[in-house]
Amino acid sequence: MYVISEDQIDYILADIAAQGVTDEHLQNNILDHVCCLLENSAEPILDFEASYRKHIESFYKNNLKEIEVEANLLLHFKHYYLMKKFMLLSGMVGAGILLLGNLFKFMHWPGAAILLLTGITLLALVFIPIMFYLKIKENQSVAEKIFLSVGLILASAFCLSVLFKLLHWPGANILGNISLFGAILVFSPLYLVYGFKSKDNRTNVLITTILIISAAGMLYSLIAIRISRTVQESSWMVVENNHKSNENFRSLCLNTLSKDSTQDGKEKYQNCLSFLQKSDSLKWHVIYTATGISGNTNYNSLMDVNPNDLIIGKLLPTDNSQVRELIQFEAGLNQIYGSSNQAFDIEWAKQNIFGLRISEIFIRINDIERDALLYALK
Amino acid sequence: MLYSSELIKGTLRTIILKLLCDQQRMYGYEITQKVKELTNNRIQLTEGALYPSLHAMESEGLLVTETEYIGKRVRKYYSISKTGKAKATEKVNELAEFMETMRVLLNIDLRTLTVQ
Repeated sequence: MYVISEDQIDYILADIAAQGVTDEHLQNNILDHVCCLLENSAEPILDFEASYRKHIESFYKNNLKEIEVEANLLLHFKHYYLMKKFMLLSGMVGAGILLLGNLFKFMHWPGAAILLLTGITLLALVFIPIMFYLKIKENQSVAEKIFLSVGLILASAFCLSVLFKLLHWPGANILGNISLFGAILVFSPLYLVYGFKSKDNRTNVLITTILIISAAGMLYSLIAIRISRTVQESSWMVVENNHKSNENFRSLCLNTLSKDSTQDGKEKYQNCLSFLQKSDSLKWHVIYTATGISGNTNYNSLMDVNPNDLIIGKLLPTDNSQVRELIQFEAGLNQIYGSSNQAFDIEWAKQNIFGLRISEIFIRINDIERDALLYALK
Repeated sequence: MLYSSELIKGTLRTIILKLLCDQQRMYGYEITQKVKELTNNRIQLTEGALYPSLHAMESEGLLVTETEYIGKRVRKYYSISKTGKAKATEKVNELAEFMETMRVLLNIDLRTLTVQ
């Protein structure tokens, strides 16, 4: 019978611990077992280390730690296998429904939103949480648990941000920003630091980190995308056309009014001129307040302005003098020419002016102008 | 012929409990050797399956343990508790019934051990 020395016992125990078995009882069990195998070995042991390796390797499939993982699972987690099946099922069904939802959306078939909602909700609120719960249960160290939890929250937040974006719900961009910035600034460094502790898979850790950062970066560039230039141009083209036809209408009306040589006619002509001047200055004042661009009658200069800045309600508070002027302008016109009996007050203004884009306000002022000029011609 | 680990997996607890019912106390290596001996090497318990099960059954109160020092190393002896004994009987009966059901289901003639 082979006799194992105390040094060899220390060597085996240290190796078992180094292979990730932390539980003392399991360490002792494995140590005793492998010693028994060596002591009762049928072949003579010439090389202790080689014989030890041969025996210990027969204990596991991938690594020795799996004995402890399995023991922990049996101890704390009776429904492990059931949950694992449920996780896989929810993941497959979620991904399937999501793909189907995309097809429906692509084909403009009804029911796309419901499919997308179900698919992404399954992934974000069932599949990912169960996956991380199982992973956390499998792993022992606090560091691993922390970085898995961060991953869970970020992945769920990202799925939900996609859902919010698709369904045009508020908060999509905030969720998207948090999850993608979190992936780049919090998760990747944690993963990198943790992964670099073990020397074996540093290259893999580095590659995965690069993939995470570049994928998050690309997704982020999609989220931060603005209205396309074509849409912006066509929107301003409407304003431009409206403006041009308005100019034509103005010169036609002023030409007709200037031919009236009576005292009343001259007065009407002067009133109209000052009214149109006021209208112009008002339009450009609104633009100046919103964008800082002034004294330019070329609408194309507004093309490069961020469309979000052109929403007047975002920039002008309710008590802003320009808004009041706009309201008074419209109210005054209506009172003078009697084209509407609507009661004008600040509440009405909030409903009708706030949240409007500047282009819409322009078209509106132009409409009022035409009404006024038509009335003057009567 | 060795039986597949899939077949053994479901009966591992029954094997350990019954073995410990019949013996005073045993340690891990001894259990694997005893099973090997009783089955003519046809069932070889793997360490990866044995120790997690022993660990779990100890915490469930089915087994009790005592430790002994063999030189510098610690040996853990397992013996069956009172609840473990009841569980062993229950598990063995369950398995016997299951085997009978399988015999009928698969139409196995036990004398010749062939499928008819």
